[in-house]
Amino acid sequence: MRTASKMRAQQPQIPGALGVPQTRSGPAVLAWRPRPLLSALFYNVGPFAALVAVWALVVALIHPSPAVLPSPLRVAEEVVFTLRSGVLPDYVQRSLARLLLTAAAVIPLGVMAGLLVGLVRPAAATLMPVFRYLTAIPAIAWLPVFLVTLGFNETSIIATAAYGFFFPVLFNTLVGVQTVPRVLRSAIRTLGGTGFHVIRDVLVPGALPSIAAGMRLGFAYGWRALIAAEMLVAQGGLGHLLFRAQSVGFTPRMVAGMAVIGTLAAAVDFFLMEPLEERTVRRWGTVRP
Amino acid sequence: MGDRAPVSIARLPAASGMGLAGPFAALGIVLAAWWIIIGLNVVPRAFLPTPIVVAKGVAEILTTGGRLRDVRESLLGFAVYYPLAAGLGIAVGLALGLVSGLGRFMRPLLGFFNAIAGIAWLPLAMMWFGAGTPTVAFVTANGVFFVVAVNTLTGVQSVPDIYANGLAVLGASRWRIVRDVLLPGAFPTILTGLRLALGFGWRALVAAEMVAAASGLGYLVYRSSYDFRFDIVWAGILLLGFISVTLDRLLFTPLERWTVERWGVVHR
Repeated sequence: MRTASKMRAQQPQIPGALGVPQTRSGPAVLAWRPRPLLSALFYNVGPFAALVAVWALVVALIHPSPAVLPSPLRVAEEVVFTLRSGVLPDYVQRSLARLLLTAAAVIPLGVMAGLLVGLVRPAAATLMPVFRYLTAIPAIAWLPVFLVTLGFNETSIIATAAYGFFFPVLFNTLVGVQTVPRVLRSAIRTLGGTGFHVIRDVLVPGALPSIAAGMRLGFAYGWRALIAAEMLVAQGGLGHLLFRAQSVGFTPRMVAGMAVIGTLAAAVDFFLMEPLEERTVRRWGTVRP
Repeated sequence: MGDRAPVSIARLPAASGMGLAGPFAALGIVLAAWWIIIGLNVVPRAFLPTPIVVAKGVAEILTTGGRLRDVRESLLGFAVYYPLAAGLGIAVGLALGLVSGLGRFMRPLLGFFNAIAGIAWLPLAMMWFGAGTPTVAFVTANGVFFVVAVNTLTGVQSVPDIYANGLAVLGASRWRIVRDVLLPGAFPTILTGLRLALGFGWRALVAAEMVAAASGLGYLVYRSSYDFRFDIVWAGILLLGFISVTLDRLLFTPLERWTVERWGVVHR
């Protein structure tokens, strides 16, 4: 409001001219909007407050058995209890460590492999269907094979998550490289650029929107594969937490675990993946692949 | 004059240039890599059978009554859960997108549930429905619904207001605007959602079958590893991928081409 009135003050005021008296009341009322902070609060906290309210209402009206649907309060208590007792931090930390290790290994590997294969046209054309096929196989289906070859341990869990994470990154990098018009590569070459210049100044920027999309999808697949593998291998992690609670029929802990899984995944997606994708699309991408 | 070949717009670059040689070359490379790994002897033969043994495993799955029943159960189940959940997702996404404030309000919730969609619901679903087919159905449908709903909402919201307003000024009814502006405008995004949902849904189905069911292709794969039948395990894994790729091809290649031709949206 203050800036608006300042701007008006800077305009030449012609006494008696049309519009001058109107600047006082009319537009100020019409242009009322919730303040940005309030609006942000409303649209980000509001939906979850509404969800909890509806959930509490349903529990209050229907009185379901706590084993079927515990009240929000009961779940909140469980979150606090598991936080204090150190159970939740321990299980969360296991899952996050696995996820980080997977991401750190898989993203550079997938991008590099995608770029390398993409550079050689016949190789790309031949390997594309292979990668498409390998991407299509659910990572969790490989778990039995990993278990017998790598052992019933941490390595198998990480291998399963890595499989789910790796192929979308690789495949999308490859698609990204291939959608860069060849004219651009030729142009750099004609101007005397080396192969390195082509990679750094044409292929990577050109493929980046697609790479970002691949990372986002890879994270979604890898995270789900990780939780499923944790359920089956049962050596810590959020999947194991959920599954252990299930085996004794302890629903509040299950719902608490789901809330944590959702919050973590939504946070990674919202703070990491979405900005990355948006930034790369805005900066380098013209048409989303 | 007049004999120009129709130009296909929606084609992945890889599809051109290789012709029929492509798939065969790919198959050759895979088989060669497979034999090399066997030759290196890093994995015991019992856990990594030869391609021939696995091919026999595929044949066994497809001809043995009990095993074929598992394949059919997964396929038929998916053929029911996927369209139902996807249809519901499109309907909900559209409805939310039509009321602008509501769409904006519900978006974070849809995003949150999208982040847990699928396998994380499995334990709770087991409390509700017990282990078995209803749990698999719930987890699969859940994995499909939220991806489709979020993408439909995004699609509707990304259609510039000016088009809807333009039609409204010309006196178009609300239904007309939905049909001629919002749906076509959102269609590429809805399509992306449907395609993603196919991947997420199929994965959720397989994971649920492995953890919480006693039938289906996912269960067959997991169970066979306990029976030390790794020919069946590998054959099952290959079939899981084959079904997913085939469904994707059957459903989305024609749809995508049709959208591109009809509305001229360059989509991949």
